[in-house]
Amino acid sequence: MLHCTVKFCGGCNPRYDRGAAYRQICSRLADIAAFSYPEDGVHYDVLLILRGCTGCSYLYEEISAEHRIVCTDQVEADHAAAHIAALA
Amino acid sequence: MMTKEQYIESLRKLNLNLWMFGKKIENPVDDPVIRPSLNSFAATYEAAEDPQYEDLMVATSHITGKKINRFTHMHQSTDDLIKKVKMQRMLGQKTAACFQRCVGMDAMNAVFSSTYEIDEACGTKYHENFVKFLTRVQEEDLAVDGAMTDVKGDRGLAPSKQADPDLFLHVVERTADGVYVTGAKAHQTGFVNSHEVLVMPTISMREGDEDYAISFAVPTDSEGITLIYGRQSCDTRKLEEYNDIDVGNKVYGGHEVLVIFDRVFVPNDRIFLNGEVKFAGMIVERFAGYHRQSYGGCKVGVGDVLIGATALSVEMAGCAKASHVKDKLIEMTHLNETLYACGIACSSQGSKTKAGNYLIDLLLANVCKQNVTRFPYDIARLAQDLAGGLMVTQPSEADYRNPQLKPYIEKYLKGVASVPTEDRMRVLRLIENLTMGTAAVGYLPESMHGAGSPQAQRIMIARQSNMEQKKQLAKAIARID
Repeated sequence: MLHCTVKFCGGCNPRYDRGAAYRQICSRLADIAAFSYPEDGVHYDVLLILRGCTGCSYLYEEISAEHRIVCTDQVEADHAAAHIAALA
Repeated sequence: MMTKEQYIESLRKLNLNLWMFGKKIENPVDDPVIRPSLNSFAATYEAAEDPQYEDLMVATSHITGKKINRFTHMHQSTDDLIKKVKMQRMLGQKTAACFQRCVGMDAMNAVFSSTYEIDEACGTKYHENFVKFLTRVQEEDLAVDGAMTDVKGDRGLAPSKQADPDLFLHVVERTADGVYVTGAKAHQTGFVNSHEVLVMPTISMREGDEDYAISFAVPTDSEGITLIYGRQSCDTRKLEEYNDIDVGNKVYGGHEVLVIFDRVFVPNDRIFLNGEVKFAGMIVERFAGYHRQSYGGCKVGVGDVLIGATALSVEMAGCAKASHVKDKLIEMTHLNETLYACGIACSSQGSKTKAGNYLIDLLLANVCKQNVTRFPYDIARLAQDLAGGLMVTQPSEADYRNPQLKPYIEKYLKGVASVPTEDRMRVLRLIENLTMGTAAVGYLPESMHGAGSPQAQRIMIARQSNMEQKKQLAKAIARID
């Protein structure tokens, strides 16, 4: 089971529904990945970064993870599940 | 941080002396006229709990190092200033109303830096007092109203020269333990939903105005404070039997109150300015600057909703493809994003104060607010243009719910066949709400006068314009010695 976490951008003017995209990814990967919100000092297999647009550049370096997957639109969010599945 | 539920429960414990429509309001939290404004304020707590918005809503206290709601934060960088504007846009989008908590944030940032410099010049202890107050606000995640605007009486006279001395809030008695103040603050946004009020002087002052140069914080339910709730256009629609469609925005709203201080006691450790007249202007200028920045976020978020509602209305009417319609939606977006651009610009050009928090670029913040006095009106005009007359002539919800009338309304108010008539009515009522109903208070006249009327910004723009350098530039190019 992959140990995954998610970080959302602040959502000032998102181009897609980041919450819905996250729920969809969790649902599609339910058998192979467990998602939780980031906690201090925890190392994750995957950090999923769901940005609402291409405007923010934060990469959340303080969150320790083997792989970082950044999504800036719905298409990338749709591909993220397959990307994470390939890491399992 | 407080949860939304904890915040609402905390308001129930306040013992406000609040009046509306001539009657004392014993339970503001559940009052149907007031509740939408509470819901907007509560959204600032709810969003901070949601990981989707945490990056904008949550900051780290420079005092304690703990996670705090950004509305209680002292901006530590230009990035913080930018995040503030983005947070405000997001909350404007979620509520389509004034969520009221910005004024306290802006007041606290202004008083934080000003008290530091007052102490430096005068040897006072105001900054220490303020940091103690701020620490409690951050630790308990309190809601703070920032109170600046006095009722002002004769605008041609200084505070101490008014026929009635109470037309500017002032000290009426000094004791060993503190001061008593009397006066009134007008247009107080969000006061009923706040735990504390942070009072500031309203204008620059001069010798003779010492009793009026006063800044302090007290609980909103302090003895001697009376609140009279401000009327809004269409407010009593919220009291009607059918009060869903016709209110336009069922859940969220805003409010202002007239706040009367009648010999309210302020203890010494809650005083942040007391007679140092030459620093009254510093607090005013900084608060106004921050608040003028704020409007480049919150009004943009509300504008997003209005533009969206307008786009829906033309789709529902079947005219979305007309070239002039598309062009007007582009114009609305251009105006809205121009406001946002100014909010971001004045933030990105911010600088560090002596106290350590960041102040926006005052010229750009004033340009931002000057645009805000105009563009929302243009956006609202275009929204009304595209929405059509039905926005103000459609039958009431009570008619729509009447079995005898409903079939006629369903039939004759239908636009595109696939769109339910009720959906069309709802969108048109939302546009009405934002451009001439309860929410118009926040979107239009508040855009005009909130954080200072247009002329106030023009004075600041003139002061900050660096005209001498511009003349030198022209002379150099024109080869004039």
